[in-house]
Amino acid sequence: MSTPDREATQSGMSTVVVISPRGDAALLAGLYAGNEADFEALFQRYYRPIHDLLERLVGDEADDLAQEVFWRLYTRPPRADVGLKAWLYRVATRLGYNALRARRRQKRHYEMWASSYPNCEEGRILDPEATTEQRAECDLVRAALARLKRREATLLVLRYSGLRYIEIAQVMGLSPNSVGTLLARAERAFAVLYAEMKTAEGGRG
Amino acid sequence: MRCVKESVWRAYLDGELSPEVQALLKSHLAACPHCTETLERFQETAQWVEAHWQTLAPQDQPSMKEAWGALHKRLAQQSTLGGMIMKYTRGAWRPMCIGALALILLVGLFGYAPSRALARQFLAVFRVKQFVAIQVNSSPEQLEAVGQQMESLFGSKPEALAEAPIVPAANPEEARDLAGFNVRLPAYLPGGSHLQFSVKGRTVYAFRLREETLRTVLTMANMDPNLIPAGWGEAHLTVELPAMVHITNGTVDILQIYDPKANYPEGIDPQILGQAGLRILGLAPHEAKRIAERIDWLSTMVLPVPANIASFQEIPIAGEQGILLTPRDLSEDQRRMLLWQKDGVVYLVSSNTSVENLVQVAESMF
Repeated sequence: MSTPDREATQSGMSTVVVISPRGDAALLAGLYAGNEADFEALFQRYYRPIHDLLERLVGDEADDLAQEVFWRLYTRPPRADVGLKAWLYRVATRLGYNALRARRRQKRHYEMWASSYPNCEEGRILDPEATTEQRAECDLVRAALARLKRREATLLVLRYSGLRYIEIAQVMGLSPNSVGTLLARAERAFAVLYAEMKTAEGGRG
Repeated sequence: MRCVKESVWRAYLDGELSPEVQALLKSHLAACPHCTETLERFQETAQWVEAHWQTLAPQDQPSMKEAWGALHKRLAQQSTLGGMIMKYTRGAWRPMCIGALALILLVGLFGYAPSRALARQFLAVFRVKQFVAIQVNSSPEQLEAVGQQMESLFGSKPEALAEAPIVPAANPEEARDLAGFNVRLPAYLPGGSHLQFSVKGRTVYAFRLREETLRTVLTMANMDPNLIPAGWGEAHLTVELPAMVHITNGTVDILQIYDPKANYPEGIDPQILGQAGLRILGLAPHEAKRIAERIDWLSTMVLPVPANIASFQEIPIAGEQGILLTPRDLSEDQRRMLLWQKDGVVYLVSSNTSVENLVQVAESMF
């Protein structure tokens, strides 16, 4: 299991990202053959971006969900001819959005819903008033995402996680040509929902 | 140049169009206030979304070390559960019987290993009247994971209530006397006429099957655990193999199993366990239900065939339906296998020879 690469990564210099010269397809084939080092190489390559995406969506639940993504990769890997990156992002956005929606269902009232994200306030701003403001902002964004249609939310999450249109198309099973159109629509819908919630919040406050 | 569809500007903004089109649109902008305004509108919205997305940015990087440690621990727990089932089926393309019940039956059926290659391809049985092959899209690793999960559920190893040794026989007559049934010989056999015989007498394995375990199996299959009646308790399950005879000339292996059977626990619909097995193996819920309803689980040996590992076809042998399994990559360890049953005896012929030869060997036994 132990490789020099991994030890370098684990010895505290956690910013080191091991870039294997081997492509995803080769590593996936290695995973199929039971080579755990190849699995670890894939983990090193994709854990951080996947975790980042999930943390934005669900905050401190991200650790569990990111682990679930890679657990699924290990136990039920995609077929060899499936783009691995697209598969990982598909699983991650699906899990993340489901969790986001589940929270929304659990907390019917917005105020309660907002307070369920303690991680939003974690040492963000020193000024205590700004902290509250920041947290409210963060909660509002998530609440608006949760109210978007799944496809629209997924599109926004993928685009703002830095994926190219061709990659977004692969993840979502769309034509690359339609991504721009759908993205513009999703952004508009998001802005409208956000504004509605902001107004509702102002009305209550 | 005429104005383009509005939404094209969104892709332009992200630089997602071909360089030629990007250049063309750029020159159009200089001359078109309308499109410039559209682009600015898109840009403003995109920047607004970006700014809000940034409020969600994590403060700290996750610890890769901790994350890998946690994941690795979970993986290790999984693999130390051992490979009681899979160890026996770790062949080129592990044929497995399905249904929670059938999965454990598999464990007991490898006591007889006349040749390594054949042992790997050996199959579990109820009282087999027919074979059905079902294509599953699970990878070998997925199947292995299923096997490990099952093993962890059933916990203890099967107990051998009776286990006869494997004894060589000098000729077909001696084999018949030892086995107690009429051994069939092929009239046609590629690879030479020097035959070796061995016989294994009555072998019985027992398993303990618990109510909680079956409920967990159903839960794993995303089915309602309450399909197992409350208070069902537990049952002892036995698998009995009255006698087996192995014949080989080094090129072709023939196994004949006389009337293999397993008792089935009362009070549980075999269709439910069959359906659970199919779902655990990766079939979609409606597919699993449809197929489970059509199978007589008490007389049908179901072979899940992973699509990327082997293919199967139905071939009639001596008036019965046989199944030919062909591994994707043929090798000494990964051989074609033909199996069928006739008059209560299960036959299994395995070789690297051609399909035609294999079928001819099978037909020449009757």
